[in-house]
Amino acid sequence: MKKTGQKICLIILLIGGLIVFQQNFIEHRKRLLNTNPINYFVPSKVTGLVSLEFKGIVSDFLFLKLSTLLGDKIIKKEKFKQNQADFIYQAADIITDLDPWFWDAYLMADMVLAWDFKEIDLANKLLLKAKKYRTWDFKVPYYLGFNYFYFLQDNENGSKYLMEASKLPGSPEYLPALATRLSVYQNNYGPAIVFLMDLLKSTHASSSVIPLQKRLETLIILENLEKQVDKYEKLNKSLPTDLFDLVKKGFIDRIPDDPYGGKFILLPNKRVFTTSKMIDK
Amino acid sequence: MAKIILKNISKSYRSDFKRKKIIAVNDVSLNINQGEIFGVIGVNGAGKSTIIKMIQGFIRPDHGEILVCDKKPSDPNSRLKMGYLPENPYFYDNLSVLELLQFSAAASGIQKHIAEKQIDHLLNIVDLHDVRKHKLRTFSKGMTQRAGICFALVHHPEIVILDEPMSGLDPPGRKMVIDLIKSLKEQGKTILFCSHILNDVERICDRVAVMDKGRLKKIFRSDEIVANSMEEIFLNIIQGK
Amino acid sequence: MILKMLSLMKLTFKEGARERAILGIGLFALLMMCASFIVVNFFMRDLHKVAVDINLSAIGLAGLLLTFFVSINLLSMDIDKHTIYCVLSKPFSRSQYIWGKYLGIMLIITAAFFILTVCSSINILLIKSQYAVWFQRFSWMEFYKAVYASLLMFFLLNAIVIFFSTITTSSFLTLLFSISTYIAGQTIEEVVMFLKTSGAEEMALSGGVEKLIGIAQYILPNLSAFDLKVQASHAIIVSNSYMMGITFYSAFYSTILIFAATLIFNKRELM
Repeated sequence: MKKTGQKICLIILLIGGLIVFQQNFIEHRKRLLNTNPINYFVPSKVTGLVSLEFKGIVSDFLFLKLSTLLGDKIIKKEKFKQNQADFIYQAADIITDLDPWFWDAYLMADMVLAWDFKEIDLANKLLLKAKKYRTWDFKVPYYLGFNYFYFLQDNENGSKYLMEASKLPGSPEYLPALATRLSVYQNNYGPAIVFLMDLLKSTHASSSVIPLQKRLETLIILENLEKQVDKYEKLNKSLPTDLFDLVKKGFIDRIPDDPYGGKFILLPNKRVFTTSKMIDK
Repeated sequence: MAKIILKNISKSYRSDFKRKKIIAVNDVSLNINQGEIFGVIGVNGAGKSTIIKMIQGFIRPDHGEILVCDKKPSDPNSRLKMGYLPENPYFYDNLSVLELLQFSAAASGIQKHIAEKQIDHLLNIVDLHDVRKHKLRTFSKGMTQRAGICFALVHHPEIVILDEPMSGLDPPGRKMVIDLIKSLKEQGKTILFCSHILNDVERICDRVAVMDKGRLKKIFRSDEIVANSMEEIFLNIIQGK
Repeated sequence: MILKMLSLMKLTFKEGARERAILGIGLFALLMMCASFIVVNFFMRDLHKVAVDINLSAIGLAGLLLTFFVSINLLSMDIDKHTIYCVLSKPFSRSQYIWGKYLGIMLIITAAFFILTVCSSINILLIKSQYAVWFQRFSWMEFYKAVYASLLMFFLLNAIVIFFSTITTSSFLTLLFSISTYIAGQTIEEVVMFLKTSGAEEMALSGGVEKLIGIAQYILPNLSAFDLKVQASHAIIVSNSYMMGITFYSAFYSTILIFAATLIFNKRELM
């Protein structure tokens, strides 16, 4: 009885010691993980073979790995390094080699590559891959069209892909009109706003909704400022020298704050621009 | 009429690539007649179990011929009327003894209602009726041995092969087995009986074969064996006297 | 003959179904399915894909565990532990023994798959009810086709296990060969396709190795043909002719293996 009691005490002590050790060890581990450079992904030639018949779930796991990595950086407001664009492209490429229909992977890569890295060619490369497989999905040509229009200022291709998207089932009713508008409107935030509003409606995870809402808010401010600049020009037959002119003349109450912390600037070509470039600092 | 005929049976095998051939059975011929209890005795490795496995068709002789009820052991029907209790019965752990016996009866083509009666009868004889629904993994060695005896007898076999049937049994268990064997003989069954317990062999067998190093040394009739002298006879034969 | 095989099938089923390992395997699969409730929350849109991936993978993993830890026990260890004497001392031919065992194992796998499919259907229904909007691209028919295809794969894999059980001398070797064949069967198609594109030049493989791989693709069973999980997760329609094709492939290949196993086992000595 005495011996059993002693053994139980020893076990309790050891468990206590283990808990204390683990708490310290977790800190060491965190420090070690933080010093690691960006994680690597094993090429799909290997991953694919090693996954055997579990390619789907492995692609899910790799996607989670990628999204937590990216999310971690976003939460910590860390700046992405340019070489990380290649990594994100490769990671998404591997994930979509395992599951070529995996829309979340294509979308996340497109969002990050296009909006954060301005690597439109890489983003489009992935979307073109998605287009081969997701033949029923209007969203693929839709995003392609947007990238061409918004980032590459290539209205021709933008219009072409949006028209393709409009022919697929489930596409928004405004798409044909939007596609034709692209050839009319040169530089306008309108299509981007419509696009983002539609995107928000179909996004589930709150981690993705928040940045999209911020971007939409900024675009709406930019569009409104440009509309006020147009009104100013029509009334005064000249462009305002800067945005303060709009305030002085009563078109706006004050220059709005940039949700990204930058400053709104009026460019000579009547476009309103933000110094933050809509990138979180 | 001979029920089991062994003609010049030999069997050898290699334990591994390096060792030379081990001769397990060397030119053995014997006949086991209908209705007799035929005992086989010998030291460990004498070849008794090898002969039994050849009769069962688990292994094939290198030379010679075996017939069981005029059929070769390779013919599954040679086992239709044969019951076998191995030296160490291994049964499926997750089955109950009842399920095991039901399987044995079904496999031998016994109709269900006949089988149920026979199963009940046998389980009562070996005193396993109360535990018939218990899993075999919960059985002791003695209980497993008794289950094995039922397994060998459930389908009313004409030939019964018992390899060390007393193994693991307590004295009442051993008496039960001996009484069972005697009653089987009264029913006209043919019994091949291997045992190390020479007293039992002496008591119940009609004929006894002595084996040593794979060879059949001698076959005695029961009337040739003086009471309680089996051990002496056996040792003399083994030692070459 | 059929009745004898059925009695052995019943015996094998009872023995296998009562293995304690099955409880553990079932629990593991169910835990994996339950985990899907949490995991789907980490994804943006393709929730149907994730739910289907996890459920089908749980069923697949359970099937693998059953095959490698229960089926092998039912035959290979039957020989190791001499419980085979229990059956072969009865008027069973060696062929009847092999077929009876195979049928029993198939019954265990089918029963396990049925139970797991019901559980995963409930799991998906519950997730679907919570996140209906994100379940637009989901098809029960394609889901069940993927389960059926997986079942066919396991019929074939268990025939492989039985084949190796008859030629090897220990259950460990059976396990080793079976796992190796499974891995090779899952990867051979990809390797061949890779070599046919640019891989051979990239890897500078010798002609002999290429030929060997070319021959291997005809000998090894193409198990990846039965993997429809990715298609099911996106409700991509698999044609009925394809389903018939893999059914015949599984039946044909399994029959060849079982016949070969009976031929080998007829000659085998059970010391």
